[in-house]
Amino acid sequence: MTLTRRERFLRALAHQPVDRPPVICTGGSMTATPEQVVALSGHTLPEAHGDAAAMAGLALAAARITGFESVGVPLCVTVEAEIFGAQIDLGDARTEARIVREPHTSVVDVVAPPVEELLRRGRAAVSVEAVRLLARDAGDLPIIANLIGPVSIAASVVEPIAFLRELRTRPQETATLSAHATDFLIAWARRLIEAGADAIAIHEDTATPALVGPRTFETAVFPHLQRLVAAIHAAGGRALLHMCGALGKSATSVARLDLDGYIPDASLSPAELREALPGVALIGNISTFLLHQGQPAPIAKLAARLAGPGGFDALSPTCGMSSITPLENIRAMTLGAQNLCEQESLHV
Amino acid sequence: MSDDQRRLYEQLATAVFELDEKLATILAQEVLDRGYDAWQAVERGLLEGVNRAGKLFDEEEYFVPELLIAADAMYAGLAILRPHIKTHQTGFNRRVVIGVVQGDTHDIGKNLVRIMLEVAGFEVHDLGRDVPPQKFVETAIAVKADVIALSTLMTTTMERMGEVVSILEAEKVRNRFKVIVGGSPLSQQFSDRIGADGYAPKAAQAVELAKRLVGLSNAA
Repeated sequence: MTLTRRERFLRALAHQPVDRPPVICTGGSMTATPEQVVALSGHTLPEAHGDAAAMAGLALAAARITGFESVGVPLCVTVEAEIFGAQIDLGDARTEARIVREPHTSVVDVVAPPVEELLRRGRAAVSVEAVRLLARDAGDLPIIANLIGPVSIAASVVEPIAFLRELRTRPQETATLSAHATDFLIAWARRLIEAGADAIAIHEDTATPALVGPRTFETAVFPHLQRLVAAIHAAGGRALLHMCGALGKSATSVARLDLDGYIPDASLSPAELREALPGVALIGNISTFLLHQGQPAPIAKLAARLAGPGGFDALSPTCGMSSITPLENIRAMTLGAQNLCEQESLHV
Repeated sequence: MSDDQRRLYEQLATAVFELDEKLATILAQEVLDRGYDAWQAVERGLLEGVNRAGKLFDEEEYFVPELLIAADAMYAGLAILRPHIKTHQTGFNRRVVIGVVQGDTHDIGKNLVRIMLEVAGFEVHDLGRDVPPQKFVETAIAVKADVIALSTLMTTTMERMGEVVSILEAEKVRNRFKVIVGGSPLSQQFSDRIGADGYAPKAAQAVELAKRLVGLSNAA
């Protein structure tokens, strides 16, 4: 079976037969650009966070250098927070872009601008343009656009500890803000898909089941994610979701989101995830601690095992790779997954 | 202790546990109005309530929002009772300087540890997040801290913790402080390597660790 990289990725998401699982890295919170990769790319950080050509160029170079079979933008997790008024620090190749200060200490103080205004702010248009350039230049590589989940955006508008408390004490106001973040994400996702994104990866990194619990997840997070996923599908995109931590009792909520793919925490096993999320493609889950601190041979072996029977539909590091992850280890992961298939095909 | 006293303390514990800040405030005032002992009300009411909430947190019945609101109710009651507590009764004289190390702004874990340390009676100086190594040392010296608690969620910033220990050693003040570390990429092995005094994988265990290191392990 000869598949292009896009075909392999899309078939893996759709549970259609593939020669082997693709090895991908979405970007966004799944950082695909450690220091060594940036150094070899001809691009620099933080500059590539703010320039469409450099953003697309670095994403493309990262795929070539690492062997990942996808390209993803934006490359950081601060685009939405900046648009919603948080003070951010774009960091550099060693230090990740991060939120320095949220604009509000309580949800009652928030007056969010209309969606049209938000779409004009910050790097929203830069990211859309980067996707358009990738659609032109990335050949058969599938294109993934990254969004921060609506409730995690809300938790970057209001100081996160205060916001987590207010999910319980001010359910109405927090829901209004999360719904507004969802409206923005839907409008932005439509543009990203129109520009050529094959899939949208949603990174709900603060309002996770492990932190807020199943009841709050179901009432305060699920409805917004569900609406976002439906809008992504309506626009012709595929929807992936990543959350840190265990799913616990929230697995039944996540299973109802109608996701195409789920990118789990590195601590979760494919067997338990298959049972919890039937019909959802599983993308994972090479531990980023292992990628940072491990040795190439065991990493290649693990990648080969997770790409084999009972493993994942697509391989990916989880969660975000550290900026000082050795390139040698990333290469071991991407090659390990691909070698297995070549060895096995000898026996077929 | 009279039945009425016992009942009031129990109501206070329940108010905290059931996340009712207003009721905790009213009941704390009632303790004072009836002339009951403020420290007993803290210990058997407020702290008991937070401990019950913490137990449900461990059992995954309560999550971060619930724990935060229980802590709010505890603080509200404490604000009323604290001026009436005789200092020799408590562990309120041990000081901790806590923060997320430079380069990292993930602070939910650090905040949970801070709350639990405060619940356990520590005076906590919270430096927030993205804190330079030198700042930990300066503050610890200035407030005469017993413990320096360092947090990070990121592998890139772990090495900042070692820098804090190095500065303490260079400035010949290492033996004045116990240094404890926590955060998801860390391990006991890492803690040993950088010369910290202890590591805890969970917030509740961080409190046990701090108590043990300052010789308070049997305190409330």
